[in-house]
Amino acid sequence: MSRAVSGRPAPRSSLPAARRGCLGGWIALLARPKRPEDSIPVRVGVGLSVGIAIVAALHQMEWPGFGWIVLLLTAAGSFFSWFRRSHSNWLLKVVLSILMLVVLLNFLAGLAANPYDPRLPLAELLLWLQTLHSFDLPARKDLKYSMLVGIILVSFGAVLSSGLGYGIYLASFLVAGLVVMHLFYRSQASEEARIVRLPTPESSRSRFPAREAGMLARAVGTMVLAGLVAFALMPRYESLRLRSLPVSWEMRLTLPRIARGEVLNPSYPGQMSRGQPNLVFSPDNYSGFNPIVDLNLRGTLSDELVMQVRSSRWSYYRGLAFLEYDGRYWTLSEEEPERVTSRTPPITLPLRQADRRAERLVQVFYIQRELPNVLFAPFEPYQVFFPSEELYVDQALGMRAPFPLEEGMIYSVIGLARPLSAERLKRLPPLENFPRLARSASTRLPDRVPRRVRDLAQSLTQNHPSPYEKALALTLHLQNRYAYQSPPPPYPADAEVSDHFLFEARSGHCEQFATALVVMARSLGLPARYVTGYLPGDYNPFTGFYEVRGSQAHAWAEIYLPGHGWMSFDPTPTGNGDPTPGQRVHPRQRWMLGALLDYLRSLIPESRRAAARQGLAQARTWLGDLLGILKNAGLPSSAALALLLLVPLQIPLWLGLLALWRARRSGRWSPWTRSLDRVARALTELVHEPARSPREQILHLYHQMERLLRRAGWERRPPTTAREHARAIRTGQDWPEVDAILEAFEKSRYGGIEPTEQDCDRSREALRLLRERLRGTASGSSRRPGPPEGTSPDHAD
Amino acid sequence: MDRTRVHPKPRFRLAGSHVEEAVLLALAGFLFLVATNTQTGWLYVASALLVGVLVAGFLGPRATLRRLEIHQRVPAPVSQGDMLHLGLEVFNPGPSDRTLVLVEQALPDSLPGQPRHSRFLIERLPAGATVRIECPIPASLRGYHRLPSPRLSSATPLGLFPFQRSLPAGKAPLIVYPRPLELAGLAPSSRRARPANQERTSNRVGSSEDFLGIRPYFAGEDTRFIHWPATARTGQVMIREFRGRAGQGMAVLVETGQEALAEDGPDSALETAISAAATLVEKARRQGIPLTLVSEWDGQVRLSKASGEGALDFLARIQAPGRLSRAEFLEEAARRTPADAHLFLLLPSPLADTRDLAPLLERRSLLTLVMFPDPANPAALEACRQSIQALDAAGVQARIHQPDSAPHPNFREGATR
Repeated sequence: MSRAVSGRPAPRSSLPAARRGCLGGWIALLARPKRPEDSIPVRVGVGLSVGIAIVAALHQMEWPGFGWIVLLLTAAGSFFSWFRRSHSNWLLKVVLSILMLVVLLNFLAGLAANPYDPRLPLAELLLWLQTLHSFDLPARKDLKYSMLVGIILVSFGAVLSSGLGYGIYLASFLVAGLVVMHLFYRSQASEEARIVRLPTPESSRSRFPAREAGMLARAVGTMVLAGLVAFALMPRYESLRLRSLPVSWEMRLTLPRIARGEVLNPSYPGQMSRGQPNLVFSPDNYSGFNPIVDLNLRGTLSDELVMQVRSSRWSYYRGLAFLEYDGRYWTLSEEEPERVTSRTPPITLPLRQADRRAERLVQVFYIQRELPNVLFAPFEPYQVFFPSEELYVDQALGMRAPFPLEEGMIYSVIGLARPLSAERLKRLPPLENFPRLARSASTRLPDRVPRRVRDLAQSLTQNHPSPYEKALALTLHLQNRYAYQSPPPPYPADAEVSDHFLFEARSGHCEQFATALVVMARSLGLPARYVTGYLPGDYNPFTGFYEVRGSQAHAWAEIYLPGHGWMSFDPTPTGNGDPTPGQRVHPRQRWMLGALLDYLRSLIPESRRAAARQGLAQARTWLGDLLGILKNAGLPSSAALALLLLVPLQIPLWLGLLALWRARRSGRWSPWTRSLDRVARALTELVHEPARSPREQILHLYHQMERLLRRAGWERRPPTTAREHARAIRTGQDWPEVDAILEAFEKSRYGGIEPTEQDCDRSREALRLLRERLRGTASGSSRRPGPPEGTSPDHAD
Repeated sequence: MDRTRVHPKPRFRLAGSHVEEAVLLALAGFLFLVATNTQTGWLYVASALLVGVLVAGFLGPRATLRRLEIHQRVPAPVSQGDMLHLGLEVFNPGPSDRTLVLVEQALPDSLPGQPRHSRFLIERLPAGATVRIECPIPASLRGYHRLPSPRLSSATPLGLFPFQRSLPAGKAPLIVYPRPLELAGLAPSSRRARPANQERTSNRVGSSEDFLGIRPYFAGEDTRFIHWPATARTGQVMIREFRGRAGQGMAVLVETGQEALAEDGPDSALETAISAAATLVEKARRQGIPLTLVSEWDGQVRLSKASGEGALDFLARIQAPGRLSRAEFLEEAARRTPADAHLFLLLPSPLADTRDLAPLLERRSLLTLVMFPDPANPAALEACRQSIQALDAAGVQARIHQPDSAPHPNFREGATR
């Protein structure tokens, strides 16, 4: 609790008396007295919050050597600040200013040593500044600045983080921050006003945590709810405007150069030669990242995370492009890839067609598992920040590193996006204007390709003059007419893949779809190539990364459009759409809400999602069947539908009744069962007859007895009094039950005595016994019970 | 003690500076920009949660202040210089406890004094509980003071968006009576005035009227009632005072015209004049002399025949400046006051034109004229002296009230005619 500050002594200044000139003015500024913050809870709260922020940043920096020093010094500094809060500490401020300059110089030196990733030096600078600042926190405003630096440190940790675990730090800091804000307010309000306390007894006084934790919990709940809404409504702009892109530059020193342009797939060592019969499928890495792709290789790829990508735009990650096709295998070009070098990042690739003025597409790859030495990149890559001084680029702009991509490696690629409207693409000149294209390697087809494949392509595109429209028609045909199946059934070893897919199997996965498109395009004279890479992955709205898994390896096609260049087409129905870079993100994902829902959906395994879809379809079928039955029975459609809807509406009713029954039975009530109980009681009162008074109950019981006796043969005639009637019954045998009810009846009916609840209970019990007795008499004797022979109730007494 | 319930209908408004809110909002925007430019998801989350903090900070104070009721207990009137003890009661009718509620009671605008606001912090107000606060207010100035409404404010729980409940002001005013001012020699006469150039009246000395006591003689009074033994003993002329011989009583005329507003505040000339009137009221009450108070507010000449607290209440209501000119006021006052009452004309500024007194002089009743020039204004004092000379020339004697000067043992400067 903050102490009262009125009459608080002014901070003591140890400043020498005479100060002149600029330096003197500066020192006088430093020694300017401040109102000290005395509240210990505030200081402890700020210390804890800042501690969380420091630990969060240090954790993301993989806990550098100075981590513990920073933590301990910050704690010591906080204690020192509290201890010296009433002093001007001008000398300390001078020393701290000098030390801050030193830290700044250290940052600049770190930046010079690694100009490609300034994040770590910057984080180090912030940490040291926070540490030094912790020694000079006399006033509340200084503590608030400290919290501000804490927010910046947490944010910095967020930039460095790549996992969901960082949410724990963020949540902890925010909760601690809320408590600190409350303590700040309490301290400030106590200063400004006279405190009024209720004269509460000592025993009922509770301490701060118990008293205000509830209120703060509500504040945290509100913050989370409002934060979620704000998060869901946030627009997600596609932008990544970092100029100094991350690259793990130091890794170039540790990785051996084992490749000079050839493709190395660590999951397929030594299995690269064409026609090798015993090529074994490996689930770890896609076989499409081999120099030769066997289209008859079957298997299911691992679902393991292979890389996280921070991308300015939604885009496929292109790996290799294949030109040679022999009916079963795709093979990389025989041409030697070009070696591109640079002493320092970035490595700028020689541009062939791309326009330098086109929009930049930035992608940062964080490799999570060992991958082939294929550099995944947007099409068309322009600059590469890679931990190597050399790269190899083939004719199809496929890039290869001198070593496989290692776990933990970071590299960045800037691609050039050339979005072109469909209208302009349709206006591209026809293929006949470019006769030389027919002679290029990318239009070559093996003789094995049957005529019917070419005929199909021709028939599909005969109405489309422009190359773009032809390519689009082929793509749409494949997407809409063929089924996706992974893994597909094995194809005959001697079958030409596209022909078997198009006319026999009519189902397959991305490799067969892409191959079919390339073959059909080539059959029309369009240059086309087979491309492998990865799908964009699942966007994680919390980390901001696209998470790419091994099973998201993909194959698609690139078709050359004269006058424009190479353009990607994905004929696979399950593909994410148009792989052309520059295409904007799916409209749903332009808002965080869409991204969030998609991410949550991605957390459900595909098998479960399929089962759910199947269940829904089944339910729809059942509903249709039931509707049919009801309609056949003569019910109009609307009535049948209403009847069916009543069934699910009853479910909550029955569930509620069950919960109410359980609560009444167990005595354990929740707020909603209490509400339910109140509603049930109100309804019961409405439909039940009103409660009887004890007097009315007794009369009612007597009439019930009369009815029973009448059924047994002792009818009471009108002139007979109740006592006479009873006496007549008692003749020959003892009837204590009748006496009990009669007594209560007479007292209440004629005696003017108000019966008690006990009287009612006794009479009720007597009636129960009488009923049993009459029933026993009836079952125990062969004749109907009645008055003894020779006795008539009418003539009794 | 009057009890006014301040209407609990909430009228929230934001109060105070919003630097922290602006910083948090700017930070949220900045983090969003950084998130967009670095595609860092957690920064989107941090930005959204900062917005959540602002929302929680916005909703909290409203929830804290909602349905709270506050009652003012307006104290009984006091004399200027005493303390008013205003009572405030804050009641929480809601189902949940409230914490850190600030209660602020401002001083009436018309009441000088520091500090202008009294602030109280209710640490915790449980559901159904009432907190009673006593708020002392220095009654530093006479008058009917409109009490500003108490304000409830809170920024619970996060110190953001401090909200204020501006509750309608209570109707009961704070009433501060004028402070009695001891003026030497200024006292009501129970004697009928002796018209100039006429024989004295023939009331018999030693009649059966109740003897009240002996007091200093005022110029113009009937010399038959001089108590010569006391005069010999004390060295100053003393006179016997009797109950029930007040004739038509006395009339105190307090002029508040435009000329009166030379200065504002508790030490102004007008306030001194009203204090002098309060003294006369008290003396008249003690002596049982019928009193008529005449002054002006809201452009009308007001008249009161109340005595005691009623008269003090009349004096407390006087507001300056008046809208009537001095001549208009005196003419109306002369018309409405009893014909032969001893007139006390209290002027807070010099009498520039003696012709203004004509309506009073025509009445041929005893007239005592006192001017209360601003003591800090030598020019006003000089003007008063010139007025006295002019009055002398017109056959009227007047006096100047000067607080710094020693009280005159006798009423030699009293005006008679």
